[in-house]
Amino acid sequence: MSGLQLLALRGLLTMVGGLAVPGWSQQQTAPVLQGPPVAPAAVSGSSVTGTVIFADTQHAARFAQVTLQAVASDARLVAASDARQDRGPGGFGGGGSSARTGLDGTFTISNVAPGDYYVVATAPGYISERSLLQAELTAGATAADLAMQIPTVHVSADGSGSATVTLQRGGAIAGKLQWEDGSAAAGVQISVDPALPQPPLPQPLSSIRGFSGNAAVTDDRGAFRITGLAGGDYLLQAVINPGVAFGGGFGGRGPGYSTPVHVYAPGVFRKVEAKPISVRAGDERDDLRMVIDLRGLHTVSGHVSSAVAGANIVSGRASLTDSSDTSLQPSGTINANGDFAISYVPAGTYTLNVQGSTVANNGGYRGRNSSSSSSTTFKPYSQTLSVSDTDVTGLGINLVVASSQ
Amino acid sequence: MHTLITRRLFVVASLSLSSLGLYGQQPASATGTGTVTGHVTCGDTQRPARFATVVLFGVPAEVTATPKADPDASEEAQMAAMTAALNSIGKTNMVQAQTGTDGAYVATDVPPGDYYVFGAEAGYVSPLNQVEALVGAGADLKKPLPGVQVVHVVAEHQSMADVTIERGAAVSGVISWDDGSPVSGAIFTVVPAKGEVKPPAQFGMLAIVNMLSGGIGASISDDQGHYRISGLAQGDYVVSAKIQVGQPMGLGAGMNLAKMMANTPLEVYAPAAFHKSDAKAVTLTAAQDLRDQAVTLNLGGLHSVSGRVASAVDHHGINSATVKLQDTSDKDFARSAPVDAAGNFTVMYVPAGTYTMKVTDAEDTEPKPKNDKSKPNLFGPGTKTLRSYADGKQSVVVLDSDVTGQNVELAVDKNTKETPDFSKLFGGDDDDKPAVKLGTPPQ
Repeated sequence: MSGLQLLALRGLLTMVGGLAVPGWSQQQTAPVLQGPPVAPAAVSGSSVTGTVIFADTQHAARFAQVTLQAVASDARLVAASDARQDRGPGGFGGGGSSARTGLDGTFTISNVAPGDYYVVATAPGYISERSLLQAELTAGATAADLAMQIPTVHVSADGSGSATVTLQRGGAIAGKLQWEDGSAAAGVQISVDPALPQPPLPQPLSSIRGFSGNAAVTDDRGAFRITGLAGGDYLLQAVINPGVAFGGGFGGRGPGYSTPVHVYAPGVFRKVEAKPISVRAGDERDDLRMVIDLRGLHTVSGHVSSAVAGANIVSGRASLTDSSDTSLQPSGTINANGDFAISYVPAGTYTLNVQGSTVANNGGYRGRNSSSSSSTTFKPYSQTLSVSDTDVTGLGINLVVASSQ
Repeated sequence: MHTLITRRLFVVASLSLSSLGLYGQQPASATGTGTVTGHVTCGDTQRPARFATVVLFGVPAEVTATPKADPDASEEAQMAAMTAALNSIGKTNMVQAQTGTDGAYVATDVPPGDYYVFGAEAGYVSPLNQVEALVGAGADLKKPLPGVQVVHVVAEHQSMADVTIERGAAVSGVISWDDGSPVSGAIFTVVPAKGEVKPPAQFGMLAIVNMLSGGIGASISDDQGHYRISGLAQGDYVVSAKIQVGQPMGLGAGMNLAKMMANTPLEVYAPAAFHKSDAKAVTLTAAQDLRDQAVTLNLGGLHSVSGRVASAVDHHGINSATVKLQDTSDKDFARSAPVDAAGNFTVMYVPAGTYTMKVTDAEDTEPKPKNDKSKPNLFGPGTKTLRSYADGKQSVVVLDSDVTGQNVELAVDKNTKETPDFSKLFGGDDDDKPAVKLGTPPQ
């Protein structure tokens, strides 16, 4: 078996030519073929070996996931797609374009097609390479600076070499989510997102993928913990889904289902009012308390009909867009009776948009084939709507036919 | 091949659980159905359960005990058992609703019939757990489950059903390596100390409620090694942690189902045992919050077993096979690994013991020609089976060092078995046909 050669080595990548990895050599032993080989499975000669280390503890990263991602100008050509062509079933940790490190933090990725690859390693609590690049770009780093940050390996047909990836400990945001009465908000989705707009990564770095564990679900005590954050300002949000339902409730005569309610720390419903949380790499922000108070929210409901005799509106969606924060867009479905209800709407001035159809929506996969030759197309309906301190009920909306077909 | 087929089907079944929810019942018609309303209350605080999941679960027309999984049964018997289980799931009538801030719920378009009414919320005893506890306590499955509310739904009528959910017990702690540093990403579950109680297949769909309500009954250790499992019924449990030590899982180009299945996770029981019989069970009383249950993962004393699988005819390495080391004194403990392209294998992290080494699913394969359709293939590129081999078996004793040279030569099986194309189950070739139609008995 030929060795492998490491040509490009930048940033955190350390080159150790021809490093022998104890315990791994046995699966790389060349097959001793006696007689004519029946199986023409290709055993490609190139492998990438290496080590993943935690920068803060200098411990080996055990069972960390390592992926080789092709350096390509086309973002779709990632994950060593060429390697699938001649990939054998492989041994432990080998084959394909990814592997897990062993007890000593070492990994072997075998059957790698020649080419240039990013070496992407992930471990809970540590900053993914993509997050690191994104944070540096947001902070003003140039494309050249960024290219220095990412470990890259060149695999030739008969190369030999090894790579060390060092993972930096990320910041953590942890705390408790409560209802306004002090009880724990359990089982609620929580996520953190960068507060600032994220400029797109330049090619070819934009093809780097990496798990960023920026979401969690609160436990039975309302506790959450989100880790591996690169330094920066973040918005913490809780997402409450008031209408996850399936079964007989889909597409029927019920009140319809509303979109999730987004609540931003410290407890507001508009992203523009959210208070960013500053995190530095390695920081522990474990004292956050977020209180969700849905008592001040209202329901907007009404009925949608059509101007065409016999053409009843039986599906569609009514949505509100907030005039001060267009990211606040609560909406609800129109049910088979033409009724809709948008729940958990904060006070404010909105544009109400209604799109209705005479074609029943059966929901889920069953709706894939629904089509009707007698469908009528209606003009989208729009009006300004003010929500203050009460529910808005009894809205009557009459849709006008867009054009005859 | 048979074990691989059935295991693959399990994966298929779990992957498509969410679509089963939609296929598993007839389309609800707006007419001829009823409505159920009510409130869900937390038993411990007497407060409304906010955004709790409510499940109306059709009382099964017939309830059959789940047959014990028999790994040595014939392929046909396993397929028949699986088909029966899937069919019974397909007949399940299940309607889900969610409560609001006041704990109230409305379930509409409920087909007439009798339903069990369950409530689910993180930290409270889950519906599946309730049924398991009742089955474990010897409840007569031919009668209505004791303590579970039943609502009778009539067409064009509204029925009422209030539910109280009971706070479950919780167990939490930290998992660490032998050097004290945390183990992150370990999947924690608890196993009843007396052995697992499987509810009848008809109740299988209740498992989906656990997933929808925020992963009740399982926990993944965080970056500090913390785990916490809540919502447990009272009882004696063994805490189990599974670490994925083999090929990373994932869909797309890197996914090879056979390889994924053969790379079994390593399981450790609290406080530091690889065999369940060496584990220390914890006793949980109702709503108890048991903390500081440390788990240690010491892989230092484990060894590897390696060798080569080859053809008995011309001695070439066989490029597709699964090697499994089955502990002879603990039927629940096995370690396995796939062979590589040259027939070599290494089974990692094997404790000292006596094992039966079984080689199954041995085949010479070659990659299938690339499909010219540009559709993504969920299971990656397929392989074509050129030749199948008989299973092999030998004894392996692991003492205090790595075991090498476990070479096995297999006889050619006269019948070449083609690996089934599971992408067809998802309707990969025809978008317009429902991929899996459950509830319809096979013709």
